[in-house]
Amino acid sequence: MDLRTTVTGLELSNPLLLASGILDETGASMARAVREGVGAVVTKSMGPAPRPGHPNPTVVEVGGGLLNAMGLPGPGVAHFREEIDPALAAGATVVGSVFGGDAQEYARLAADMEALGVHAVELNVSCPHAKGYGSELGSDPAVLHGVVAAVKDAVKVPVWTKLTPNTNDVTALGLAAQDAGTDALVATNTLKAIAIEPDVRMPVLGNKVGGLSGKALKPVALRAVWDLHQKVDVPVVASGGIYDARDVLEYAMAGATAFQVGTALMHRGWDVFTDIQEGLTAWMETERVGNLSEITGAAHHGPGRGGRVGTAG
Amino acid sequence: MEHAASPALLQRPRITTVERLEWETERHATVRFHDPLLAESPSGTFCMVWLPGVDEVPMGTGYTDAAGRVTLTIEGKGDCTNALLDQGAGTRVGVRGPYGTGFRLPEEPGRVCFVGGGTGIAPMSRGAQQAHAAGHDVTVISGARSEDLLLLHDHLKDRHATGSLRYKPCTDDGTFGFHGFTTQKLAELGEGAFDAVYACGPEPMMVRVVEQCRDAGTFCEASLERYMKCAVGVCDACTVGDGLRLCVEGPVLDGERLAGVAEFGVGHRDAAGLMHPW
Repeated sequence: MDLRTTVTGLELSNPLLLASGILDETGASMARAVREGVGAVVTKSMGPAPRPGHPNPTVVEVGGGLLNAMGLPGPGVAHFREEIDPALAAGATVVGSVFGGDAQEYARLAADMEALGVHAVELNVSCPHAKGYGSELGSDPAVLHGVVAAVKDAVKVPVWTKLTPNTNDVTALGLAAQDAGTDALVATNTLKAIAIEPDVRMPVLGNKVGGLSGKALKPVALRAVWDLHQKVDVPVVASGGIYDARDVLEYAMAGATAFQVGTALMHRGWDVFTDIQEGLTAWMETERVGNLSEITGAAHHGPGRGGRVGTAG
Repeated sequence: MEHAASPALLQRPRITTVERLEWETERHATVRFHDPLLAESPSGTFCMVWLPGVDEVPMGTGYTDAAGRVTLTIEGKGDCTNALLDQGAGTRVGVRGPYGTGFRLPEEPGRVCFVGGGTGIAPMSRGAQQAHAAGHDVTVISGARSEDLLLLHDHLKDRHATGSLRYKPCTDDGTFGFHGFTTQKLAELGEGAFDAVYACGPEPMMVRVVEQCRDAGTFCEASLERYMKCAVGVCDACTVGDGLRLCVEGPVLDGERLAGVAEFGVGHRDAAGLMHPW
């Protein structure tokens, strides 16, 4: 069984990525991610300057998922070298995530991120809880096209575009990004959401509104991957509620070729990466699948191998 | 072994009401509220305390009682803590947790010492409580600049009087107890006299305690404080050393692990993740 995969030219030991925003702001954590068996790390999204983010509470768990309104905290690209360097030294494949206020800023930040030595950039055009950033830009196909095109002009490394699920037509966004030259799509970021505490009559999150990730997001993001697979040609990277190997298999059969894991670290810890790899290997052995590329988009192609489990062929 | 957030419990604030607020100094007070989950938590773990409309901050859980009541000893030093002290008894707060690792007490009854400075004495008071219950001989060293700044002073004097711990207060100016620093008192008692030493307080103090215990060959743990956001091991705000999340693998780290934390006693990250010297 071979878990190796190649996405936009990046050769990964396995298709599991640490999702942006989860334990990828410090060099120490990104280096640890390598030791814990990730295929690649997507960094915390960086803007131009240090940002403290929103006031706490920045997270609150709800049934089936986690709401967060971190507010894009981080040291900013200008101070990020001291975090990227230890990650690269540890052998990490690093996808540098950036967020900006307009196409020119995205292009500048992506170029700065590239200069830090990252292997690809991911455009966070889909954060649902930072005013003026993210999904405020990324939910308009024309604006998104402009952002991606500007970034493609500015960098040589592959460009991944992370889409918002807060849209009535994710394929319109995917097609716009593809037309502008994106090398891959990531589906999806979090769903805009809120939690209210009745006993104090107010929203729990400091920012009031946040983004829903975790198990509740999975069927939504899975449908986005499904739709994108039918409409676009670039690789689709899945993100949303991946907790175990069967989640990965669902996304693979919907059409994804790499898989970002985030919220699961809250409940499963770092072990989630080796657990999923073991689960995938066991399933592939039983199903006689040598590489996950054999099942990419399999669910689109009519009846599978039901009733012939474990037989040759 | 890491302790990921329990899937059985939603990680969201549980609303409770501050029943009592007792001033310790002009800007320190101990509040008490009911929360059975925290009351049963291992000593050394912490909770997130939400003052609705203001902020949510990490606090080391203080001594508790059998009726499910919990204490927190708070210094008014920011929006949230100042507002909480101003609002006092009757305030509704949200608490979540317990989070993190607790103190590892010796398996057999032995002699243990808790060294606290500032509000760090709060988790020490709870550690002392649990250590006494587990049959250990307990010493508590508490330090402040002067007598009027000794936190949990009355509580610890009471516990001393009932024989559940030996209280060794220290003041920089000699107005009460030992004239000098907690670390000097620890040295006077002899680090080797204890089977385990636990520290919580200003980081330079903890660095000294850890060094003294390392030299004496005594098991030692220190409880670190860093900027915290999620407290459930995903946001990377409180990561130290080679990737230790203080909210999960900490806040209590033993001397061996602390040897690998280059920034221990040196620096800490702010809300934006930038490192600053202490």
